[in-house]
Amino acid sequence: MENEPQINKMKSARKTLAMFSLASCQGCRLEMLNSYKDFGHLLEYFDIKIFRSKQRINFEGAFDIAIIEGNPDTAEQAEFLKKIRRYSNTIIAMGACAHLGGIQSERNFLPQKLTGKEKAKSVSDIIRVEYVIPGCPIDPKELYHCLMDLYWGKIFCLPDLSVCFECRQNGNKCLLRDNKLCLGPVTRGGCDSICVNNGEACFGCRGFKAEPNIKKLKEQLSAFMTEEEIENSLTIFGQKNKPESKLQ
Amino acid sequence: MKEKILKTENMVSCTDLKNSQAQIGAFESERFFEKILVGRKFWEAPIITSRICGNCSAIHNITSIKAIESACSINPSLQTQKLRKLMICGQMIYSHSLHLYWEVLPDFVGIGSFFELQKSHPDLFQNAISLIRYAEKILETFGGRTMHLIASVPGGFKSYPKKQSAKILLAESQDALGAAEKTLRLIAFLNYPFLETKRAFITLHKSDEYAFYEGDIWANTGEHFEAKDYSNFIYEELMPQNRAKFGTLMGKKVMVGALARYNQNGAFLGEKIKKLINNLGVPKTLNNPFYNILAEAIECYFFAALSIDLLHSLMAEGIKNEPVIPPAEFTSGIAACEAPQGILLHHYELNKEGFITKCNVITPAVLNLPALELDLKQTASKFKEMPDHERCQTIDLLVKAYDICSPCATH
Repeated sequence: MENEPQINKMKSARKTLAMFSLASCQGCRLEMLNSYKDFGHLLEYFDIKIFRSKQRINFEGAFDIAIIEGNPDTAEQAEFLKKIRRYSNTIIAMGACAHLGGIQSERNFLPQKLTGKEKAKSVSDIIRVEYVIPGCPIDPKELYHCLMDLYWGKIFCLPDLSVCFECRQNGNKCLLRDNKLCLGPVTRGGCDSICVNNGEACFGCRGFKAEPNIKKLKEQLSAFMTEEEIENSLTIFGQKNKPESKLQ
Repeated sequence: MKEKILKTENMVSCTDLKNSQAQIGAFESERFFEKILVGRKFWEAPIITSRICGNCSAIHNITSIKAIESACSINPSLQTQKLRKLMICGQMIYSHSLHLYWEVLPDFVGIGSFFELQKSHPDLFQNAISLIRYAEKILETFGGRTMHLIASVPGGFKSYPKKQSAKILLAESQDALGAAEKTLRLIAFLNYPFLETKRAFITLHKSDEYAFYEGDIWANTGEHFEAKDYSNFIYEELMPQNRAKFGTLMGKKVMVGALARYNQNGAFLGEKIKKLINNLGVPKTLNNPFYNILAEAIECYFFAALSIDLLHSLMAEGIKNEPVIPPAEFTSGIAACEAPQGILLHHYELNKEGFITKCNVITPAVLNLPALELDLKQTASKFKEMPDHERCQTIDLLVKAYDICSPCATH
């Protein structure tokens, strides 16, 4: 009972939150609202300054936390990112586009003449990023977890096990044993192996786990796939841009 | 006031009032999806194209699957088609209710954002949540996930839901239908700015139903063609200083979307809905582009009702675990579906090994942009007399009413 007034006092110290979106499908933003019950609770702790799409941007004061989805594609957007960095205390890169470069980073392997653009970069190539929420789309629970940890001053950590760990727990049949493509062994877990549960293979949207054994996986895949097909599947979400993916 | 530039997050509209000039551009970066797909296997197309847009990921996935199926000579079973139609219902309700409650209503109610709605209008907020939840549940149950569907692939479905989950969905459906009706009654009585334009419309058309999954493409100016002849009718061009392409029907600026569908296919909406619309006093043809908002509310109700019918018929037959049909050959395929914002075309060409050699995607936003620009131009003189603040709001609302999705525009 003694603690209660103190907690209320803490609750009144709301933090400010802003959401920015660069080149992406803007789906992670919608995924955040997926379970609105949890998101409603979030509003008790955070003041959301910028969220609605097609809203005019006004920078009023600094933000405690800025969430960025999508990757910067042009010089203007890179400048914009630097501006966000100046205005915010903590930055969270949300989704595969911000984390790895995303699906559009595949153009890094196209001839430059065709696109006439520079190579696609991830957010952390341009500014310092404190936290990463991986996945395409993200798991909203992971984001809520991260935000609440930040609110209470804890350090948020991503799981560092491969997708296979959760996949075994869910009792799925191993696709690699059936000579089918799956990137589960080299991909960071935490998604509850949602794709394999639904009969699809893992394409590695959450980026490589620490110390992935890609060589061994390629060896295994080469039994039923050509070199080109393996390369293609390893680059869908831009994992190849960051072969030694650090946790944060 | 010589020039007014409105900059929303990824869209810029610029209106020069003196010379009645207007320009609109999507300033998000282009992402070259059509080139990324070249050299990849046919089954990767739905996975990658669904990432064009988060709001309409399901319809991109389904249209892409349809095009790949026609390229691979796969005939999907009746159950698969029904499930896909159900998922499109979910997609339509999802996109429309998000657009109505997130983007449009806060402006009419006079609040800053959707989150403030919870405190100021709890009843409206509850409607929005029950509609969005229902749509998400449909996609989650049959596609595996709300965004970027997993289970739906060329040839069928990789996994099927348990019978119980379909039952749970059916239990929630009446709630959503009630919310859709309340939404329609609310949206019908909003004050829309008056603007009369005679725009050409193109939509899918079928002789016996409200077409959204299959059908020929009809324009109200007289052009009828099949989806596979689209390249003779729909021209796409690159615009200087604009990252989105502009698409036209043989040079004519056309409008696509809920308003176009209501005007062209309104006769197939069903007796119950027609009666309701009649009681609300909605005319049979709507020429004001602002009424796109109203047409979306009507469709929201229609698709909620249709999803209940489809769920009942699926429950009666029972959902069988059909295996995925493998491809028979590799040629080229074109498919068209109605996305929430309008007609969506996917075109793929495959080589003998099943690798994609050519890909073309025409999104509704590409077709809608020129019409929006023209509307802004024609009404620039009208906006001139308005006070500054009001003019900004009206231009903003017109851009919002068109429901142009910037990720789709710059795919």
